[in-house]
Amino acid sequence: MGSRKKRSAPGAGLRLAPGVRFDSSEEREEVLVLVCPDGKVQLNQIAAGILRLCDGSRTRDDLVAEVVRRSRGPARVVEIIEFLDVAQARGWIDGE
Amino acid sequence: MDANAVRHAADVLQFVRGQKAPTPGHLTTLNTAIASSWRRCALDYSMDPGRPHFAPSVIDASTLAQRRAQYADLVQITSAEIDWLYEYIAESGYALVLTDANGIVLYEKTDSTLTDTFRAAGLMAGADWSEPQEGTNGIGTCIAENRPVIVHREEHFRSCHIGLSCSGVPIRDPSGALVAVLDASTLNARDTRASLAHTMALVSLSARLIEKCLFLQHFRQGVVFRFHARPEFVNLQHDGAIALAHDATVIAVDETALWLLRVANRADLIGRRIDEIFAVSADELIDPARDTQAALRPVRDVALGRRFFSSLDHGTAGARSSKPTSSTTLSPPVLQLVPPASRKSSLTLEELAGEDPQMLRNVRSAHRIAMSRVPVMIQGPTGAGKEMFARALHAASDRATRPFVALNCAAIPEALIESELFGYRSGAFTGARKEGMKGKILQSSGGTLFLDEIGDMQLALQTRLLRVLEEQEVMPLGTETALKVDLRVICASHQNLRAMIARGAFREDLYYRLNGITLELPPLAQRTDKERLIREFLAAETSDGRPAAIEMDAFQQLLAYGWPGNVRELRNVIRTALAICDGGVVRLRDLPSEVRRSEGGHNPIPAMPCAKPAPAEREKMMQAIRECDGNMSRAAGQLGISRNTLYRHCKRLGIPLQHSHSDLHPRSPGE
Repeated sequence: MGSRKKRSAPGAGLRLAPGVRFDSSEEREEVLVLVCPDGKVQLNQIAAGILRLCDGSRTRDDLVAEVVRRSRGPARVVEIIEFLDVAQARGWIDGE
Repeated sequence: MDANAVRHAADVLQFVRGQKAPTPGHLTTLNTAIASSWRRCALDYSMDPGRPHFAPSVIDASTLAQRRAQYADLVQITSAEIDWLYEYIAESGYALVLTDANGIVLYEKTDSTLTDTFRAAGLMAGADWSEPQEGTNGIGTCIAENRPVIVHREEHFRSCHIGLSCSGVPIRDPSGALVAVLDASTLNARDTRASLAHTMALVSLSARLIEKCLFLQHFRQGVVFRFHARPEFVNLQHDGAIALAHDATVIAVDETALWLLRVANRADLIGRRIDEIFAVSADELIDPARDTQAALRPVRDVALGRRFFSSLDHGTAGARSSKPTSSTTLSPPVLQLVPPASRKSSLTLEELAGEDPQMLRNVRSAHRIAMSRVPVMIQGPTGAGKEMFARALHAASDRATRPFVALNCAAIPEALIESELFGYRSGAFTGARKEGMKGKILQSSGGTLFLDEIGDMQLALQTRLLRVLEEQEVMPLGTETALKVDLRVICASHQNLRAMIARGAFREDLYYRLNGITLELPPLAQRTDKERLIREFLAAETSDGRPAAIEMDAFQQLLAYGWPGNVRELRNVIRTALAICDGGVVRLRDLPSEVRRSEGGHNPIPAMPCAKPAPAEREKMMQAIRECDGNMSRAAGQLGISRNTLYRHCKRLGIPLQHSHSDLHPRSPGE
């Protein structure tokens, strides 16, 4: 992770981007929907768990560590980081 | 009266006078229940077996209405149950009948084309089928013997009934007294006593369920302790139920509870305190202030120390308490990540059912017969998930810990199926493995044998399979000794087996052997719960703890596509899309072209989907590759994506790879 650029500066942690929220009307078990300005996204539980941790209180590295801490079983660190990359690229989350 | 009837009457009389054993070939052995019934008919009721058939004795309409009112709960519960049974066995020409404890028909259901035939035989509402009235029969003899009976054709006492075959099962009230009889009767000469045994198994299951409903209804104001050795069966029809008084003494016990506790008589339990039977604190158990409803608790029985799981119904007040609504997703601001181990890649019956009405009906039926040996025939188009369903059925049965052995009769050369199924002894034929081989039938003993594409099995093998099923014995090739097996068979076919029977390609007797009930799996396009299925598969395919998501435009296309390959195709598409997408996020471009092109989606797709994607994206990648002199690993690092992902993008965006140092074998998303 250290090799990646733009990650180290402390400041506002990762958070849901403005206009992005969870669709509470569809919250049932296993039905987790993120509402973004350009459409909805169906999430699996892990993805939803990761995005819920994006509350501005954690940097990317802290967040990955927290997800790993909360996951029982083998943690998928690479997949988690890739997911955060895409989530940021798609404009679902912002922050450092 | 025809010759058969005359001969039957003569045979019966000779038998009851003790002059002669039943005619060989006509009735080789006489079941003890039938023999004692014949004697009762001849000696106690002075009945003449040859007496011509008078109109059956039918009670008048107002008396019938009165009786129905008296048994309103029973009739209501049973009629729903009969409707369920009817779906499965009416097609084979059955009439389903509920009578009271006196043999008076309270409710019946028949195929409308057969109603007249059955009426002529006396199967109609209000008819009296008690043994003194109609002689040996499935209803009257069940009442007289106080146990389930099959009365097959010539086992009837009266000549006029020898066209009938009946399976009668008692329905008992919470005290164990017979209150009603549930009977399935057929006029079909084709049914053997053995095939009636399957019908009987289904009828018995229904009777158990009706008894459970009656029991719970009777004690709905009280406290009912429910238990089973497996936690998932508690509060289902298979569990044991014990009704308790307010001081925790046992006031009623159902049949299953007796069986689970290995107790012969209700009297051994009634009047004792629950803590004399189970190692529980009765005060704690019975205290209504405690929230005992919420959880299953492990308990051991005092007599044998075996472990059970139990729950407590606190009457109607407790039963109304709403199901806990997924608190994991609603209340806490941060979701607790599910342990990946809690999900498996094989789905349960409920997960397979989703919310589709037909699938829910299938699953309801599957649960009923899961604990029995009733053979199941699964029909459905290719890819509809027949094997998945069979596995889930196995997992829901009491055989779950034993092997599930599958054999696809279409996938294996005909010549090999025989040895695969039956196994062989060492040296049975040239090329045989030295140590011999245990066949699939033997391997599955105690568990479940799943025969996929049974319609592809050749006739000679069908005959051998039939023999195995009838005798529950298998004789490996090259041996003389038969080995006992405990078989539970589920088979599947996408072919119309009835049509195959008609043209002589499938044995009719095997069909009836295998077809205890038929479950029809609908094609995916007809399912009303595709949304949920997509989510189920997304979850199942990422059960290793990967984060994953599907963007809505891709999701809409998955919904809109026709899915000719059914559930299997859907699952493959999701699996492939997850493998090729970036960061676990499935986008439209990750779907195979035929899915992207399907009509009816909310986002109409241009004819050339690959030509569209952002030129900027293409340019960005080409630049990165140029900057890194074609070193794909470095280019990928610079772009913040994986090397494989970069290759996929290159292929998708048509970026030439001549600068690349390595060979390229990207996976086609259409696979």
